[in-house]
Amino acid sequence: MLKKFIKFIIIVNLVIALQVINAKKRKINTTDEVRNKVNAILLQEEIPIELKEGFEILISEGERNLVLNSMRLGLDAFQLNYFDIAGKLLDIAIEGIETIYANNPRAIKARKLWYEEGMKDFKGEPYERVMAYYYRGLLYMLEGKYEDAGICFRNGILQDAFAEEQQYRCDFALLYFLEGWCWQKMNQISKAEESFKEFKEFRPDAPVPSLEDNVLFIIETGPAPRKLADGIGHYELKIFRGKGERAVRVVLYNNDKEIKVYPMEDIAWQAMTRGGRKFDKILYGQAQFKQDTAATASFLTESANNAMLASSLMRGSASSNMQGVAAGMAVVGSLVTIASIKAKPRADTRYWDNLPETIHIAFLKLSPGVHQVKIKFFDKENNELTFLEKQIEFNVPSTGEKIIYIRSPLNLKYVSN
Amino acid sequence: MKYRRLCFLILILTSIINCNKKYDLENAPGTPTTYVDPASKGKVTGAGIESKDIISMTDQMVRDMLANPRLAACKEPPRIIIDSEYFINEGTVRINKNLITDRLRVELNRASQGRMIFIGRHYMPMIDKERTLKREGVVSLGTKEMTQATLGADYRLGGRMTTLDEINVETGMIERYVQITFELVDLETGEIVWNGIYSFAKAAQDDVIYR
Repeated sequence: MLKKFIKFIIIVNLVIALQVINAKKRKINTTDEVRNKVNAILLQEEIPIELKEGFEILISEGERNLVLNSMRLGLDAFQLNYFDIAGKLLDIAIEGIETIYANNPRAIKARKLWYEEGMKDFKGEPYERVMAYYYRGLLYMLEGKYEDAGICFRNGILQDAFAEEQQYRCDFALLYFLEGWCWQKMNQISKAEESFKEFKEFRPDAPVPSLEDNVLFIIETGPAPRKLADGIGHYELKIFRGKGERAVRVVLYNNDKEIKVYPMEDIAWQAMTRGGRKFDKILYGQAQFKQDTAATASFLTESANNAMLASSLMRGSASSNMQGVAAGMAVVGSLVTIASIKAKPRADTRYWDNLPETIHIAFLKLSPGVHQVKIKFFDKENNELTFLEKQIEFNVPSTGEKIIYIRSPLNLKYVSN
Repeated sequence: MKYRRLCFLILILTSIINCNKKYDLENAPGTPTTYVDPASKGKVTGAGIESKDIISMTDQMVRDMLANPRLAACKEPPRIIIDSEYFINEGTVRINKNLITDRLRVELNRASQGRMIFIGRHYMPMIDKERTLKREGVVSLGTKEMTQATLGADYRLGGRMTTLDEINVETGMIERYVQITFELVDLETGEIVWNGIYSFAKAAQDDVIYR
């Protein structure tokens, strides 16, 4: 009877193993879907040579990483001044962010005990979603489309509300500032005042632009916040500041006159104070399962060993009965071990790794015509980081505004610096 | 023997129960986007504008405008500009506003059958270019006579798209109320001769893995 049962267990295990192998063979290929989507959006536009490798990665990694790769490549394109392509890539990312995943097969799989969270299509944490809207909004601002830019900033504010803990909700001061700037330039003064009022709640010491200010500097510094998995089975998602040298203070000189540059937003702080996720509870449960089953398996194996030892001290039918119990416990112990090994509570640590750490803002009124500014960067110890220094020349139009975007140093994901 | 079977059964059942451990989270797979009656209390909220909304909204506005005697029963057909120039999006829905105003103009032009005249002010650079070429003799005249100026308008469309967004962080439910107003403004007096409003609310909930 026992031998039959053991045979049955072996057969069941073999069938399961075959199913696992077959499932791996049936890996879904979403590359073509992504290629079609990218082609449809780019409308056969010539892809710059620097971005070609990034596009290949975007297509080859398929739907699962489409939002992430669009964010990364979009920001690469933005930093290299390919604004049109950057806008299209960020549109792809935003489309993914706005998609409601209800009964999505990959999302269902990612929720299961046997699959890592990283199985799911990437949508990013709230701070990453906010940044996608921020960059899209900036691109609209550079085009002078303040209405569309404002929509993006409001959507960013909405995404920030997904950060769970009440005290950290909608505290992305930068977005309120930029929304206010957009309203102001659309001559919607009362709305601009409302936005700036919200902005001042989070940055009471920050300056507010007047109607006459016509040049806006947006300066980004530092490395992107990092995601790491910690805890039993790496179930716990933790976010840290990026590694590497960073400028924490920026000074701008216009004709040797120093202009105040305000450190408007700390993206790493926004990421680290995101609050807990609902899904963390599921991952915690899965980690508990992994831990409990490992302990049960260890207990069963040990008991089986003890039973086998005890059987050697027995005689006759008592000994064979004890051997049977030992064999049974060993089989169940191995099954529980398999279950424990197969459980994957690992948190998803994919992240937007070419984001900046800090965003600095400066604005001023300049007369129409050509102007020059020098930008100096300083570290925490107030040492000047001369290798980051920039000198730029720009033309202020007689009507409208000039938006100047600076990233120092460039942080390109798919393009070699 | 019976004891052994019982042991195995208990161990296997315990394993199965552990494997199917339920988590105390409501509605884990998420809820697909659903339309809700804006007049009633919503579940919580949100999503964007879809083609269905544009079609039903413009149909409703067309019917309403055609039923207005000041617009559709004048002795001389009024000249109207319908474009997105003064149609402002103050909400959170990213949409090409021309989707709405183009459909409204096309449907009105088709249904009014000459009771209203529509002016393509958004084609002004194109018109200017052709008029200049004709007057400079670069191209010949058309079949119609030249006019002193292009048509001036009696009314122009204005409007606003606003949204009210709410998020329930606990359930991940997002609810969005969208209100779109359309107004025809007399370009001499500033009088609003017609206005219409369209509103809807939508609620959606993402899968728990995104919360």
